Amino acid sequence: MVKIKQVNVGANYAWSPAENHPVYIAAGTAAQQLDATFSSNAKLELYAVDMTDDNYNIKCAGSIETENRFQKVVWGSGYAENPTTSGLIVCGTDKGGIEIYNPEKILENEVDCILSNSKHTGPVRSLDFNNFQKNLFASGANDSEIYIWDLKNPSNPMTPGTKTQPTSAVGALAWNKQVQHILASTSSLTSGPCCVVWDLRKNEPIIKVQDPSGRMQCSDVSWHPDVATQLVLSSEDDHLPVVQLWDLRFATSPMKVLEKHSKGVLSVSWCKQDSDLLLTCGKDNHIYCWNPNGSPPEILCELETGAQWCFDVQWCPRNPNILSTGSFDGCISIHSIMGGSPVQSNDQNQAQRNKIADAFGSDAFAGDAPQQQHTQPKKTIPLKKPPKWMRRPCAASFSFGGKLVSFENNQTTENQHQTSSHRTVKISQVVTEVELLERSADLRKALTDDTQCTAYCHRKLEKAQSEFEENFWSFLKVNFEPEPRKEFLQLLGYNPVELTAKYRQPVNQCKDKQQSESGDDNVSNGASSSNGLDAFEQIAVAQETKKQEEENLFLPLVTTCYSLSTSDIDSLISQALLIGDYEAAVDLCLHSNRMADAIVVAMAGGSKLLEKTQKRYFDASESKISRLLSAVVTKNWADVVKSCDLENWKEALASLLTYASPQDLISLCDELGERLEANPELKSHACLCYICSGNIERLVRCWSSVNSQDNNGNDIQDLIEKMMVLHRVAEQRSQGGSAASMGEASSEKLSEYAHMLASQGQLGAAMEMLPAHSVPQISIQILRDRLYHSQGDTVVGYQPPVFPFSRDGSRVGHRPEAQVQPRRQMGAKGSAYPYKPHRDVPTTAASATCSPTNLNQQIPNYQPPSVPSPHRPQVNNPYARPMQQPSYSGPQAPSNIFTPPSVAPTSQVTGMMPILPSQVQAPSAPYQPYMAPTPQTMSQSMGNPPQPPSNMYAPDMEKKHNSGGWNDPPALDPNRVPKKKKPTTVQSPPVANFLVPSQPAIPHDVYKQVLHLRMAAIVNPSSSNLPTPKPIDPAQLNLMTPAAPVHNPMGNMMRPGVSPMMGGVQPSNNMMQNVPSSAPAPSVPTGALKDTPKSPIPAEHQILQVQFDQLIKKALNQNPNQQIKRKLDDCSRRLEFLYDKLRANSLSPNIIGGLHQVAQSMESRDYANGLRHHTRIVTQSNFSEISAFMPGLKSLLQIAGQLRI
Amino acid sequence: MVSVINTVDTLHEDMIHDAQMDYYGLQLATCSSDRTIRIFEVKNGTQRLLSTLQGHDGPVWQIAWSHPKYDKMLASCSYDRKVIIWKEQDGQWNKLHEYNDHDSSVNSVCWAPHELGLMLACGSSDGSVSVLKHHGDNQWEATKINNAHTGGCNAVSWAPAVVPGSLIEPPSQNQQNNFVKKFVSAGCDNLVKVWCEKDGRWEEEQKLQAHTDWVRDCAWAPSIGLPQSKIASCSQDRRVIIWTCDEATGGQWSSKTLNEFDDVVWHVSWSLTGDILAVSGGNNKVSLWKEKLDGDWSIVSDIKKGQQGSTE
Repeated sequence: MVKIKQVNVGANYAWSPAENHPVYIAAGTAAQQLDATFSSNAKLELYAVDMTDDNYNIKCAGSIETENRFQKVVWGSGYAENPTTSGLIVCGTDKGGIEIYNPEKILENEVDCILSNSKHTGPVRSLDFNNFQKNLFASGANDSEIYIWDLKNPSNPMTPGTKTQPTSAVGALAWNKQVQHILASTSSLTSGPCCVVWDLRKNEPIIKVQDPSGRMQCSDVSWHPDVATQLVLSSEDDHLPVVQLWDLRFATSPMKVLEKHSKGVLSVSWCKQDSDLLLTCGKDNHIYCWNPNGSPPEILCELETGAQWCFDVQWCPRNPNILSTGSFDGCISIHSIMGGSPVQSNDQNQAQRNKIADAFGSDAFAGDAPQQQHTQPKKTIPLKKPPKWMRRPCAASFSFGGKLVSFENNQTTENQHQTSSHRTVKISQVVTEVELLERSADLRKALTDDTQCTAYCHRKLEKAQSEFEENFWSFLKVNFEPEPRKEFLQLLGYNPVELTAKYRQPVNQCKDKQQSESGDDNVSNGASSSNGLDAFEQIAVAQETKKQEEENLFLPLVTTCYSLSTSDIDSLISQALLIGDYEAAVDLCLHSNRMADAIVVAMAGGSKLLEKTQKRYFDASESKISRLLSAVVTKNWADVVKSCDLENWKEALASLLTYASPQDLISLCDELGERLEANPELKSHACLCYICSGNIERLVRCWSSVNSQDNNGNDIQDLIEKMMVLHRVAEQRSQGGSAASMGEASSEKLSEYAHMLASQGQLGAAMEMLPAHSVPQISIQILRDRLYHSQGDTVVGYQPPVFPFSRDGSRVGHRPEAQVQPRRQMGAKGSAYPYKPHRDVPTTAASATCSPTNLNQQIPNYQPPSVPSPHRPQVNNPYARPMQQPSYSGPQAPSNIFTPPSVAPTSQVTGMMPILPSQVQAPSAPYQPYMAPTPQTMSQSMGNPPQPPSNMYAPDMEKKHNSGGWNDPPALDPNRVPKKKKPTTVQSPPVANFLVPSQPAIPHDVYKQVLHLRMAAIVNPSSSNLPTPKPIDPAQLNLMTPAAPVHNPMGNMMRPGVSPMMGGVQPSNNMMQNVPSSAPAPSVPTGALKDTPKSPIPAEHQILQVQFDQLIKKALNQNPNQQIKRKLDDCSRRLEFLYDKLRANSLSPNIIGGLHQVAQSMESRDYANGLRHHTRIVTQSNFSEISAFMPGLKSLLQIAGQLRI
Repeated sequence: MVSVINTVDTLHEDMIHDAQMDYYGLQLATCSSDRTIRIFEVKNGTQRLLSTLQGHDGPVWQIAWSHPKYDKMLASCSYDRKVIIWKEQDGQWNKLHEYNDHDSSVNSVCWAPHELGLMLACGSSDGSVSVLKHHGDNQWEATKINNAHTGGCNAVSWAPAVVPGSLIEPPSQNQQNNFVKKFVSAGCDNLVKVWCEKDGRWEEEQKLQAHTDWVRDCAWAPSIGLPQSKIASCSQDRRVIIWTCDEATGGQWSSKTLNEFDDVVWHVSWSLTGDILAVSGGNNKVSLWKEKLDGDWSIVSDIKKGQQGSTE
């Protein structure tokens, strides 16, 4: 304990009640003392005991002069009718008076004695407020006078009963702490009872405590704070300097006697907050703190005392860490039982003494004071055992995964530590977002396969609250339809089937008889366009139809169904064009005398239509070309997107969906979306554009900006649902390349979402939701690591993630292991801590060069020969966690070196290896969907279409498309083309469209164009039984390739001016040089690979090849239909990429692990499971790493499932 | 919804004062008035005592796990005025460092965010706060803030590592040295204080005054990407106060009383996502609180004494 403050006043004093804040001491000039000046003035003063105040001496906060000096001061709390909130100060004067003051007035130095009553005959030495009824207090004086005062009616005090005989001064009074009507009073007489306990209900003493020795001179009494029947009495007799603990149930002798003081004990104070703490002070100048409940009672601590002994000791009611002593040298000292360094030295004491001494001009009074003994602040001794208020009884703390760790200690049994309740710690799972979890589970289930996903979208659509939501889900949903683009059109308000039907109506009526065959065809196909012949005939019919009639037919359609911007003939033409119905468009143009338009459209519509229209064109007409028309013809969609009126965004989007090539579609949709985003009102529509383009990243950003107001759980759930569904879509389309991968914003959202799931204890779900390993955000890596390890030793289906922090621990506390230190610096600056190698990754061809013996020399210089860059990060793998892998000299070391490349992204994360996986893998990964096979393969598959030399390049280009598309139906056998020359075939608008742009580039080549047009017209994808006969699908492009030579889905290669060398003047033998310059990522030609001898697949992975190839063979043996056969061909082609990667050992271990799982599933014929593994690989891996072969593997699994092989 | 998934009988011979899970939630450390610390492996509803750490001469008040990047370490503080840093090696826990420079009970220990390096703050009843900094090779440098809280310091809690002005973005590698080093302390002077290291010295940056009695505990909320600092404090005055400081408002702190309880509030703990606050009261009651959109706090769960689980 340590003295921390003092008040330089000789006074009787009282602490402010526990309720009051701040804490004050009320000090009334002590009647029994004289100060150095022998002044007879009397004062009542307030001192603020402010623990934040560094001053040692407490300054007076308020002071009033009083008439009388004080024997006793108490401070009662406020009560209901009390005029003050800070309670009342009641003082007993030396002349028998009771005076009551308002402390608030004292603070204002205002004398305002609320009550002054002189009922008592002698000095009022004892006062105590009732603990329960705050308006009651008791007072005691000479002659055993005791009065009970009610502050509500202070004029009429009552007595607790008849006076005790023989009468004596009432030295102390104390109300029971548990039972409100029990009061104890003491007597200093040794002859009678030393303590009388009164029952105020009966108005009589109920017990008189008499010390058996008869020598007890009772100075003070204090009730047990918790036990109603116990009290302590102190004896001021120097011959019996004890404190007795009585239990009134056994009131014949004291239960315990506290013996330590050598002279009479003057004051006791029992700590209200901890009954194990009792303070006593005596004339022997000692102050002790006891545990009276101990057996035997023990002294916990002794207080530092001053020169003079203390007559009074009191716990601070509010702050039990501090207590006060009043000493006869005119000083109230404040102590802290917590120890700590004394704030100041005893200079202040000294100063006080000096003041006294000065007053006398001598040392007369200071002589016997043991001065200077505390010049050095000594380390104080705290209580032997901590007070109760330090012992935290309960605490609940959160830990990872929404776990709450809590414990509690039963307070009532606190003294008998026998119960087991204080021994248990509970770990609970906190779930606050029930809805989120339900929705999340729903979503994860939906993501398992397409059917689920479609059904999910459907449910979402039904539940959609707003139009925006509805649009959103409709758009997402159609992605799972076989022809998403067409469905998109419908959603935008363009229903090709419906439109066509309406257009055809008059035609069909007239033509029913002759055209029943083709009509049936149209119906059965649900065809979106008609063939050239049809068109021809239709025009003839249409010519006869009156314009007025047509408008009648179309107008309601336009105005009611499709809220287009205009309703005139322009819009009709637009509509027809938007859905690729050239005939109708030409027709409409003709009718509105737009000959030029008609011709241009007719050119797109096929040779016959063109011829016909051209004729009519010469007949006459003026024309104005709408932007749309021009865009259709010139294929300049970028311009449309850039300059279209945003109000017509639907049209713009529809035209893009109809015409734009897959590559362009993405960028154009994005661009349109971007423009929409810039417009606050149309912002939300931008999301739809991003759905069409599959751009998750943009979608997320747009969504976040639209829904930025609040950030609660459901909001993010809303977004994640859309994100994940779109991700799945993009995965399927996956031709978009970048579209399927998660950008920064989406990764952030995903990780936020994963955090939320984790916080609800859904660790597994959170793990599923985390973006792929390749995502570099450190926060995601950290979460992954935490999720993984918090689920126990192994998480099925996951590779242990790399520890995302740099290790500093090995330097703490134990000697760094010599082998570890230097090596850490070698590998990627040692920042990425490579995880312990859980499994031995097979040695690659490269690793074979590292023999165990010369390992150390090898490592720093090691570069995998085949695919150098992605392997670099692996180099740091040897520096595995020291505690687990203390040595590398063991024979297993080599296998550790080539631990999984999944390390790569992480080391990149830590900023040390800025090698993007996509960059480094480009050479070996067929990243681009349209890759150039070797010239040989091209020319082989070219077949026999007659091509003028100047156009040689074109088929080459087309052929390239055939080989690369991940999900495309296999290319048509060119030889089959002629067979398709059926009159019923319908013409495909996009193909025609793609032909058009070549015109400006090679104007002289009209003949060839016409030729191509014819070719285009005769190839009929829609009416064929090909799996995906969509006029706007990328697949379609491939189907059309042999006949649509100049089309270039790779973007601007064919655009006039952009790439002149591709414009048809270059001989074909330049092809291979040109391709790299224009194609984003020239890939290793697969054909070339096939021709060169290959290194074997590492033995441990050969099982993959065996399994996969076997399955293909099995499937082929089932004599599947053409479609499946083609798919299987595609599979084998794609799997070659995989085998190449295996040979190069360029796959991350998690992918390889996943593949093995897929192979296992194949072996057990559990194709559904195989698909699940497949999905997992896809979601967790770097897209570019796996895009070449995973789709093939998927369709293989699907086929195998279908065929039940 | 709170459901007990594991009940660990610690076999402590006296009151438990703290229980903390490690970073991954795999091991549980408990400390007690019986002067020991116990480490349990907790898995699938079962527990296994791994170790009992003996070294303190008084009740052990608090324990704190180090970040795994510094391997497995545990800091403990005790009424015996000592702070002990323990380290596990090969499953064995050993005393790594003992800090003896407090004059009174050490009531709280808290490791700094790992980004700041290996650093431990200790709050003591002697009114001071020590910051122990590891300098490699088991050299610990102690910086002491004397008289941080008159009457004693009850709790310390570090602010999440952020770079000034960039509370929105997690700092990149090259900004690492710019991390603000800040912690909050609570004391028997009824104050909550924010300390900030400037030029290697700890300065009192803010004195948060609203409690009218001892502040028992304080907890700096994890950063959730918002440009806002948030501190929860609880007190003998039975109140929990949430202090917030928006960067936008120029570093002004404002306070909001979460609730006034019917007993002393001993402990506050933020969920790792910073959206839920667990409040532990003297009546052995734990309640969970969540901030509503309007900024008020509402109770999401009330776990009563001895209750096995609780309803929403």
